[in-house]
Amino acid sequence: MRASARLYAALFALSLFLTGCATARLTQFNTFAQAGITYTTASQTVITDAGNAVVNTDSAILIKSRTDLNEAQRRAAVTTSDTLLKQRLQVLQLIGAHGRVLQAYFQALASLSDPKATNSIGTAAQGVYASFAKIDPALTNAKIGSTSVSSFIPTVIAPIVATFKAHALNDELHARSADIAKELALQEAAFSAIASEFKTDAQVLQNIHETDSINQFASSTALPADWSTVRLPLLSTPVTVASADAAAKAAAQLRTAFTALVADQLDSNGFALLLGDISNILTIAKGI
Amino acid sequence: MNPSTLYSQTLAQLDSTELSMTSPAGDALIQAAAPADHRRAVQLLLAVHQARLALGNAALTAIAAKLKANEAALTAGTAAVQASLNGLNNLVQILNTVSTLVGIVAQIVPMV
Repeated sequence: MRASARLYAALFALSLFLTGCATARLTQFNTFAQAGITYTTASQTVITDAGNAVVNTDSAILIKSRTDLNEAQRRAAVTTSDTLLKQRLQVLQLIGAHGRVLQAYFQALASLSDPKATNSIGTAAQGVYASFAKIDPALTNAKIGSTSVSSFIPTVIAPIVATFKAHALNDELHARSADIAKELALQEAAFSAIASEFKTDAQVLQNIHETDSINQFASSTALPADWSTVRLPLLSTPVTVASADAAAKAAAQLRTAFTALVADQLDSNGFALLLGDISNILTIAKGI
Repeated sequence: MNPSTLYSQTLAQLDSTELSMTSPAGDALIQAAAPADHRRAVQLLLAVHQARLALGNAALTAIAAKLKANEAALTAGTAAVQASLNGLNNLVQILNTVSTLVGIVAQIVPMV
């Protein structure tokens, strides 16, 4: 009897150990997946802003050059710009649509790594046991060591379910780690390119507004009533530029975190860096 | 030099040129130029801007095509993870059904 009690105690300790290992792995997956969801959500805002910026900057350049062009040149200029802008908006839309596919992947990973699902299976198994106990009252008071069987069930189920989920997620990693690594590298490249053009567009637009302000002041005609109030935003870095940088940085950090996740080396420091960058992009996206 | 590097270097050059031409210092030079030079400079600014747009489109289109090519893998991954999740959800459903069924049996047994 004492031998079986020791065995049960050992099994109990083993189940706790397995739960700890599998739960730690699930937490890694869940944090990575949640960061991915946040990244894909916030990056949609950056894409929209990049589209708005390119059109607004083009309009400002066309207006600036209008008086120096004849009618035929004006028509050609606006037609060419319209064609190029349609292409730009279309390609940004494609990247945005692809981001939603990536988001669905992260959402599936987050659902499977969610610890709540583990609890629900434990509770359901406990319910089955309680139902059997109604037929056989001996089960109601059954104990393993000093612990009642009923309360033991979720503890036994949890490591099994957590291990199953961790296995499923590890299998998924092994099956697609090359594709996901490639995907994250492409995201980084896409957002670096978007950020670079977005920054130029935002800066060119600001330059045009600033030179307008300078020319208004230099001119002998009366200044607009709001001349002094619009100066401050003209002299500060546009907030949209920060969002472009944050998206590219978050994509890079997501890729680093993924490499660590594959190697089972995503530690608290990696989490902190990843969450810092993701939180940064989210804060900026919300502020726009 | 591969096409991608050439694209990004040329694009960076165009970015820098457009920024320089629209900056307060660049604008001051254009404003102070003789009318013919002024007109040429403005037309050049428009040309640089549209070249930047075209080259940016080409660079983004190349990346978008690679992203699109990777989409099948992402969709397959989502389906595989979802299938594992469905397996777990089915298990919960089965256990709940068994629990309900056994609960009914437990009520019948004392009557027999």
